[in-house]
Amino acid sequence: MSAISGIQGKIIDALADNSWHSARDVARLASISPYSASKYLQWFVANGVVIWKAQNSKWFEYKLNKNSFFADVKRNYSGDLESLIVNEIERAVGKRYYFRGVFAKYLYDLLDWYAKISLFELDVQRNKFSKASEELQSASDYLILLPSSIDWKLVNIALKQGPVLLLGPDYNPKKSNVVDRFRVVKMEYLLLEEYRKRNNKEFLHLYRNAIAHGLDVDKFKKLHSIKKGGAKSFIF
Amino acid sequence: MIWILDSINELNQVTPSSFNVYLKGGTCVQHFLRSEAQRFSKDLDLGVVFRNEILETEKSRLSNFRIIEAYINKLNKHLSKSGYTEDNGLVSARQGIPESWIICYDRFYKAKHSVPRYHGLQRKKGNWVMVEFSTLEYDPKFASQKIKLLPALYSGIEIEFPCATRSRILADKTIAMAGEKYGEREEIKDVLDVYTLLRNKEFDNDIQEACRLIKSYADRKEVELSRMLNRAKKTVSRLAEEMTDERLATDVNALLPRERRFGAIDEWKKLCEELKDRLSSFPVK
Repeated sequence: MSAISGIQGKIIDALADNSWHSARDVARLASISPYSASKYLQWFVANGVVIWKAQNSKWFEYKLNKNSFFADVKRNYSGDLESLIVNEIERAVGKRYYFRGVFAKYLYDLLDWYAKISLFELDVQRNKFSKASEELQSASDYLILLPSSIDWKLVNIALKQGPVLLLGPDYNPKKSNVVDRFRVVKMEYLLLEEYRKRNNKEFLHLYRNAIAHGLDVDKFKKLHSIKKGGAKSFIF
Repeated sequence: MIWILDSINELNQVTPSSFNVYLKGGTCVQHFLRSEAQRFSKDLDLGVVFRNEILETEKSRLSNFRIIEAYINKLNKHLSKSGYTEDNGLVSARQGIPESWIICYDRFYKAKHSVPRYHGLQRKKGNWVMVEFSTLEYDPKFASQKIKLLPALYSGIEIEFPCATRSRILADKTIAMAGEKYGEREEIKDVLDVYTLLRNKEFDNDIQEACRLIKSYADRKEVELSRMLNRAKKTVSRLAEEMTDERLATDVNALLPRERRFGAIDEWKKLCEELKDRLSSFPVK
């Protein structure tokens, strides 16, 4: 029986056999609601206490990472973490993946500043998501692997423990590009995502940088107008 | 950052004849920070101080650009002799005539160029440095200093270059936070920079002078100093209010070293509150 009291202790007890369990399983074994089980399991995952693998894009299984209930602070990897990720992911899914988000911005030289890039967002082909989630656990000494569907609050908690790799199942071959040996989402699609997240002033700054780095403006405007439901005008 | 250092080093080799140039902006802020607090910056912001008096006219603005262009030509000749080529390491102007007093150049490096040419340091990835000459400087304050950017510290590279004084850099960053002068920008980095500067006790004695410089700028713009500081505080407040968990992860935490990351939005808001308190304590009279 776990030395930890309350729901957290019950969940640890449920996972004590060191095999994979679904959140529903854990809920049943710990006599708690599936909602609570799922919520606590995600929190454990963000702290590196529990690891996960996907059965499919929505169905995950969990098991204890190590015999420790404390948050798992990651040690520094001696080489390029991004190269380690690429090696592992290519072993799992071949070339059907790309980086997006902040690391894609880094690859396109669109970042104004950074001290260290510690968030990697990666999309793989849907039918390879499960395999990728399993294979990437081999890098868990150096990073915390999270599903891209996880709450951003938990991503921030995980970032306190070390680098984070967010894995998603939304790879689309027509959005794929290669920059400096890295597979990365095309700049126009990256900008479209950024447009959704930013205020006008910030986006305009990014947009101008992107133009200086070869953004296909017509393509971007076309994608933008499709996304906006066929709106003709473009704000810039 | 190594290419920033390389660019400073190359600028050092070619002395302008009709103006002085000094380092300012984000890169200069990093120079004043402890190594573990420094961040990468791709911008090389340079203040240009002409030896002749500058009038704020369109004619003068265009004439300034021509002087800078002549200097860039001279610099490129020097870079060519050092082995740089048109698509690799030479300085190229942005297309069109700049609309402000800032003239902007790019310096692109090919990945394959990144052989150990510079003090044995290299990167695998191609790189880009943006070099901005600001040709209208109010109250320029600078002094020649040994550059303390990370690659210089780690590799024992010694470069002396004129840098903005602590009060000048603090004033500039505060003016930028007030939304003045610097156009579209990523404000989060300004907030982090000013906060980090103000946490450095060495800056305590520079606040008075920084305020004088901000006031001087405000007077030229016919704005009250207190209003400028309030605008800066409003920017900080807005960034505190607008922060979401996603932005905190992607725009802040993803880019900071682990010890400086924020576990939750409340921690970011606390930093913003502290910064506003510091700005409120700036002497306005």
